[in-house]
Amino acid sequence: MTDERKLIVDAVKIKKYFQTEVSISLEKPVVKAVDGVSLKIYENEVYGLVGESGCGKSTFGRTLLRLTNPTSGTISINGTDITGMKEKELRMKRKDMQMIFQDPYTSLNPRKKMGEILDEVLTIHGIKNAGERMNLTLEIMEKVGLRPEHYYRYPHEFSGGQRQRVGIARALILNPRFVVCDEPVSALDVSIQSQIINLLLDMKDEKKLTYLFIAHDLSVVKYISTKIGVMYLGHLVEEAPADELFAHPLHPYTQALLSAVPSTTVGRKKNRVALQGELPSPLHPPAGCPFHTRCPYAKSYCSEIKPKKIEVETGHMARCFLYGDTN
Amino acid sequence: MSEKTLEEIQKELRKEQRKTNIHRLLHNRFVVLGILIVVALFLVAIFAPVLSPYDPYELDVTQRLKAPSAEHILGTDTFGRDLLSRIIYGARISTYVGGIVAVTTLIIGLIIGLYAGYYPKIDKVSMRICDGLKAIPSILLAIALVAVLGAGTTNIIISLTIVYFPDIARITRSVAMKVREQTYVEALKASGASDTRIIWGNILPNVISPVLVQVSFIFANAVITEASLSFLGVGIPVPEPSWGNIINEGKTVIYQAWWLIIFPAIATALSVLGLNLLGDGLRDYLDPLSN
Repeated sequence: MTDERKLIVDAVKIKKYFQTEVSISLEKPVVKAVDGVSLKIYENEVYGLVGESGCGKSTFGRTLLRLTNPTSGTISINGTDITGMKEKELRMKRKDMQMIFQDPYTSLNPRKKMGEILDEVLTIHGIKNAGERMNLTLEIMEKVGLRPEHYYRYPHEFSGGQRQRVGIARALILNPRFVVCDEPVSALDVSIQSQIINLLLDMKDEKKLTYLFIAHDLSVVKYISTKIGVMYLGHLVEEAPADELFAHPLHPYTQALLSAVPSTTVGRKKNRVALQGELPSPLHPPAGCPFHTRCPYAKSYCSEIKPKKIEVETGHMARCFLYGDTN
Repeated sequence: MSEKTLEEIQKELRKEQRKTNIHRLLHNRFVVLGILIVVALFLVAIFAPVLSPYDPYELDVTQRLKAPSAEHILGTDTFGRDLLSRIIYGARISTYVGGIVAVTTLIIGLIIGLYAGYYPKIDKVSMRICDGLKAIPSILLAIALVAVLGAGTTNIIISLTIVYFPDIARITRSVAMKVREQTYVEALKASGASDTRIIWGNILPNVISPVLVQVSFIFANAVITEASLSFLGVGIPVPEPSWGNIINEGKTVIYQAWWLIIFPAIATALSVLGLNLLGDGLRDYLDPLSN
């Protein structure tokens, strides 16, 4: 069903390892931030990527746009393989793939006026006529809810919400196909969050955008996403359409995540799955299933063999031995 | 929101901003003093032939070591030359050397610093060179370089540039490194900006204000170092007048002619003070977050 739609992002077995600088022993320790994540995002879809801090979801988002180069794996955006693309070519390709950053306080150059920040993006992509640039800038500013007089203001004169609107305008001014939203609302006040999320959804409908929405706030993800992927320690452990995932979480980690969301229903007692222990260090990830150290259902083989991706129901994948063969 | 209203807004805002900018700069009394001193220094340097009452090279044995009087306002030196004229011409040398050194260090330091701050590989090489240069006391290094190159104005400028460009390079590099890690640089990359655009269009504006402040201090330092070199006899060769060699000549007759030391010293101190006040003022003015 979803396969009939146009494939915008096709990431295959993305790995991103970071070499740590300190090396007392001869073997250099490697941080496996993203360890073999594959996912497909279709046109006009909002793919929510959730997971706790340090699970590699932001790194994955940055790798998808080749803001850092993947250690291995291939990335196709809108049908073009960008994995081996040359810097120069990639720079031009970037108008199809944009990013909205988490912290609107550091993502805007404090020495540039709002208008200049947006104008520069257009200059980079070869719009030479200053009047045309200004018109496009004002158009996008209006769309994201900024007034024309904001054009000559500096970032420090703005609130967090307004700054994030500029961040959104910067990402959308080139009419991209695909936008990575890296926790775009987590630095904002709750009252502003919903405004920004609705703005993102409006823009998606208007411009036929495709989002990868990275977040750790499950209620936000539930509201915005059509499909959700759950990441744990560099692995994608579960993937399902949003409603399905919230209704029937399969992976024990997802179950634990969802049970941590405060319920608004009075009197209903939930079975809370409290996780034990800390997130293991990605420097020394556990062998076998990455989650076995904290999993309430862990069996002996979980610490030895990595579970494969199993399609439990149509469109609902999980990486867990609870749902299939034990190899 | 039609075009016209926007243009009006734009004009109004710019006007308003210009007004507040000037107000801000002139608000600080010391800055005004610094600007006045520096402007005066430049005017004196430019109009030296007009301002000086006598030819600074003209010897007059009958007028040797005359104390300040109506005829010779600041007195005369051991050869009977008018001290005021020599100090005025000395201002010319000082601003020339200081000014050129400020510009050359700015250009060299900025380029090295920006690229070192952005590319770690360049950083490793260039900063070791700068460390090496900074390890030697500046006056000693300057003397050594002049000894190798030979005395003369151009060689002094070259050696002072070598002595002072690491200061600019270091400051530029440290700011550039900080800016490089900012999310907005990543955002620029995400927008498809080239390294050149990021370095010159976005890192440079962040670097420029601390660097300009440093440049004004280097100007001041170059004036002092030039005077020191000339005082030590390795700078501007006599008979060309420099504040340093005037003091040097004066030191042998310090008990008979105090004015030969006091006045060029005051001239040096005043110019350096003016340049430093200007630098401080610039720092406050150029930082948009400080007001």
